Amino acid sequence: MGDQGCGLVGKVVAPGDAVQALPASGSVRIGPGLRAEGSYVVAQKCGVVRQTRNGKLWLESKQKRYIPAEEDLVVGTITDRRGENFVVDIGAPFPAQLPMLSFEGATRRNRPNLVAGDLVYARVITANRDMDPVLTCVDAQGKSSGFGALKGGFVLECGLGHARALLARPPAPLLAALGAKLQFELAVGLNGRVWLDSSSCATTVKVANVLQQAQGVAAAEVQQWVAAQLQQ
Amino acid sequence: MVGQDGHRAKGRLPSQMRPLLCERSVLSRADGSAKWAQEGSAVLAAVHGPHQAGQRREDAERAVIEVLVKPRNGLAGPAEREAEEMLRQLLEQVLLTAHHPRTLILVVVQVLQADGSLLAVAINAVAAALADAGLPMRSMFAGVCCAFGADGTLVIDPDAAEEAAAGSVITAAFPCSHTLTQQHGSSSSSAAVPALSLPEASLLLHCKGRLGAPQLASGLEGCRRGCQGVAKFVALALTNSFKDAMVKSSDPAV
Repeated sequence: MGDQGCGLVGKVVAPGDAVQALPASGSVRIGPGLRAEGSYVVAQKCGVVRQTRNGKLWLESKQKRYIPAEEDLVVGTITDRRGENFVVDIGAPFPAQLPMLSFEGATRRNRPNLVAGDLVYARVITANRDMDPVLTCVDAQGKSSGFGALKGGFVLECGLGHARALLARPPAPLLAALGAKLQFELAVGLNGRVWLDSSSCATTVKVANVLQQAQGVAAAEVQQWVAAQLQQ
Repeated sequence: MVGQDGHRAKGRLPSQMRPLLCERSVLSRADGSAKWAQEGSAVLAAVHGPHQAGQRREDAERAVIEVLVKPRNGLAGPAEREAEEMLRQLLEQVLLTAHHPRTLILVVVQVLQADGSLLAVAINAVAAALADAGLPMRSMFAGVCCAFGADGTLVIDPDAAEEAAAGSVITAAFPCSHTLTQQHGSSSSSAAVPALSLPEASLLLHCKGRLGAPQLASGLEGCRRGCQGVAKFVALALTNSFKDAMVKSSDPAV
């Protein structure tokens, strides 16, 4: 890892901007939004340069159109069943395939009974630009671990950057502030769809409104802002 | 076009552009959108996609780009068709279409107000909308229009009256991005600072009227200088739109 690019971490770059010079030896790990061109790591969209703890550089951008990537968590709507697969709309350029056998405990005799319009929380296992994305509702051990059909509830759409922020660990300040006041269940998809459910419609609507309007509220002010919103 | 005191109509200098205005994410349904205005000229650009292309139009190797230009009023005519084709060729050079094979990227340009330099305003609006949509691009780009008066004086960013009075009008677009340059400072020799760079080669060139080679060269140089100003403005506008994200990065918890 050269330390030349560290000056740009946290800065906004535009497409084509050089982020870091490639070192003469060794390797640089780059993530979404960046590519190597000539002797530089170059941005290909606009966003804020970020660096993970193990030194990987990536670009945090705000966009609306979801492009699938492996290991992304998504909320999808079943649109059709074709042979052994469900066809799922995840907001990507192409519909995703969800094999009927990739649910916990599913066998050829015992298939999940899902119809068009049902919601699923799934994980992307194949994301290739030349092939349709493939989803699964189990983890590596074959357990559901939170994936599967989502019953009831409400889906709201938000920007991809906002969804990523909601999935942060430790929990996003916005969710922490909401969770302290209200009881609800939610599944955040990196495709910009958030499913939420609670015991009463009033709570669901309240949480949905706050989540949607919170896009663009600075992290430092979130707690105060949520308190003000819930008072109304 | 330039008066005795060296000023144009409305008090502008020959190399002075009209004030720029850029608003991004103005449409809720589009994947990316922007409004760009240069005083009397304003254009709204929307980007849809990449989404599934129709069977007949899809390309197995790359995304297909379609541009629609809608005039302020009336139906689109040959002038709009020409602008569509020029913008499409510009986008094919800039967008990394191989990233999204079998898809369609639709760019819709709606003219809101027409007061000269429209193609340049449309180019800048499309650039801002593409940046908003987050489509993979080789570089950002900027467009500027300039006009030669009958007496041979060069004015940048002409309005409709100046365009009508001009002997020839040139519109050019240049790619613009920041490269890292080594700063020979006293503190650390390895500190690289981003510096704006505009290549000599233009992405788009549109000429109208009679034009000699030396005039073309000086016109292109004028456009390039204008693009430098536009690029600086775009970089500033982008940084401002990510302000809340930047605050987060200085937060020790993240």
